[in-house]
Amino acid sequence: MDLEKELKEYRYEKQGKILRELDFTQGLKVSIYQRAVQQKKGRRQMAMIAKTVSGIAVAVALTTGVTYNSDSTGGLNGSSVESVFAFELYDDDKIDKYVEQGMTVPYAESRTDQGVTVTVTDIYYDGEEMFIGYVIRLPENWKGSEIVSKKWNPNTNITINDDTSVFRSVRVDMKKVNDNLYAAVEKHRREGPLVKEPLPDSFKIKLEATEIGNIKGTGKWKWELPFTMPKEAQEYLQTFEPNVKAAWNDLSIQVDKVLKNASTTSVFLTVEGPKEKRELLQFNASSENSTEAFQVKTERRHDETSSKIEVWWDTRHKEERALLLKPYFFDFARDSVDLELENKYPIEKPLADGSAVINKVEYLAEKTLVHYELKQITNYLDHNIYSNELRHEEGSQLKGKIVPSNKNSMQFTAEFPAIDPKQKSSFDLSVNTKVDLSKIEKKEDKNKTISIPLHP
Amino acid sequence: MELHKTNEAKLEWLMDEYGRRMLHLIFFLVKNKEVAEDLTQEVFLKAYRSLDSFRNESTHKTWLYRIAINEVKKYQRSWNYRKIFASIKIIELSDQHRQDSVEPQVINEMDKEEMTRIIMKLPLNYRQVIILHYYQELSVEEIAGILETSQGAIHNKLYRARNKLRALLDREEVVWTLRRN
Repeated sequence: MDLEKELKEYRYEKQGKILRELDFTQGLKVSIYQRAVQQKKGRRQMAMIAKTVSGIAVAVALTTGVTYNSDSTGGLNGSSVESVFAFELYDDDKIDKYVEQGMTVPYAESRTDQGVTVTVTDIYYDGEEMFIGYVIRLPENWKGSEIVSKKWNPNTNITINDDTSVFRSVRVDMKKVNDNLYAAVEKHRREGPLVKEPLPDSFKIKLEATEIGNIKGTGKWKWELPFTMPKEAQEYLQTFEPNVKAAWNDLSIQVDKVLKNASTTSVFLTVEGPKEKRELLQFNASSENSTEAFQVKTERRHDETSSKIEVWWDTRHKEERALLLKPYFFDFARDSVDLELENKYPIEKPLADGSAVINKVEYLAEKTLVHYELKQITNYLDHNIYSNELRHEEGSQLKGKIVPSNKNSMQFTAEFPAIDPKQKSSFDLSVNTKVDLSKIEKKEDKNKTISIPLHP
Repeated sequence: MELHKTNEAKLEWLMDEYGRRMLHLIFFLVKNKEVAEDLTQEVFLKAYRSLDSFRNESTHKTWLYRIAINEVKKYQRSWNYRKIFASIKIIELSDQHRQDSVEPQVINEMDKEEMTRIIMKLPLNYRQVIILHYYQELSVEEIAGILETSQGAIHNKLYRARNKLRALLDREEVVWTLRRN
């Protein structure tokens, strides 16, 4: 089928039976006319005016009981309201879906600073993700530079009963619509703490943009907005404790909680058993009938006796009944060491089953060179230094470029931008080592799956 | 001496010229007859209120479309919005109906019913550009103006909308060509 051709045939002018019951009737026309004239002249003059308009006047007399509500467009009337919505302009399939399902909340809160008007137009929050949509309008005669997301400094403080901030990651994505109009979406996700208690449905959001483009704000781009999660998003929310426990390769895996919302489904696990095995534990996932595998992400915290692990993935559909988790072991392990830079070298510290040694540090005008070597680390994965970083006292981190000193040796040089030798700094090093899975995996546990219900 | 139309006369002219088009556009976007009628009223009332500030007659059409699109957006962001399926009965294609429909003109109408049903399944963003561009026959430039975006973005959206429509058609196994042959 030639779709383009079919669509070109699909024209208003040529339409036949379709939408035939949908006519712009005289009654509708009269109703609009009545309302328009009433708005202008007031009710008392209505009859007189209606008589003067041929055709319409007759219809007015014929249509009785036409009722209307002049405020029926919802809460966003008025000429000062931003005429476009950031979520609409941003054009993202995921956000479009939320808009389509009525899960976003409209706002029309404009703040102007130095001629730049920023309007909060939409907020989406589902218990896990929060998207805040802004429309930025620049003056017509704008001579400044383009607005780019790198120069958008959000300072978002989401407070629950005035004291809790639960969002960790913040990112702003920006879309230029034209020279004077931009749409920005600030993206937040609850991350890290492994304890995600359900939040209230209503709370306050404090927002501030401190820098937009090259314009430093003077504190006027600031909002304090009440937020209530729409019913459509609330319908996705579920928290329950399934009674699921499984044993696998000397580990006991207990499912503590399932937390579900429109964007994310999380399963919280407590795992007990040998620490070296817990650290290598990973999961694949598939749907209940095991036909469709999909990606999951994990967040984990280990102590000496147990590990807390959150496994999470994008919520696929509201009615999904169960998930099959398939545990497996990573075939490589990672270990890290933190070496403080001092005046005396070499400095040696244990790393994996060997050690890391800094032999020399050179503070040059244009760069800093850290010469180090790895000693007696067995199964070291070649070219698999996961990271090396220089961490300054005040918290800044510099990524190092690794230059092997000698191809056949375990000696390396990491090159960083120049730093002040008087500043206290440390050198962080992570390496990957190959794990012999045949020594830790039991054959009988090879294809183990754990079925987790996703509804109470 | 040139006689100037009153705003009421202009409103009447706008309704005669674009009333049905607006109603159809809004129906396609909100999928509900009563809501479409309410929003169409709001569009013309808003236009009426702004007539004094409107100067360029040649863009009446795109101006109205822009008001309509914004009214739909407001509605869909309002607390009253619920996902409501089409209340207008789109004629079912019974076997009997198919057998009876032998004239080319009738077959064309059946195609459009089927197409309407499938287009209604598109996400709003895609449905919007398909209706504006094909059904309402607006140019990409006009749509870009109405939606306040670039022509490139509209081309891109139309491309994605057609792909999605094609996928829906495949899934529904709609085979017009077979019926035509």
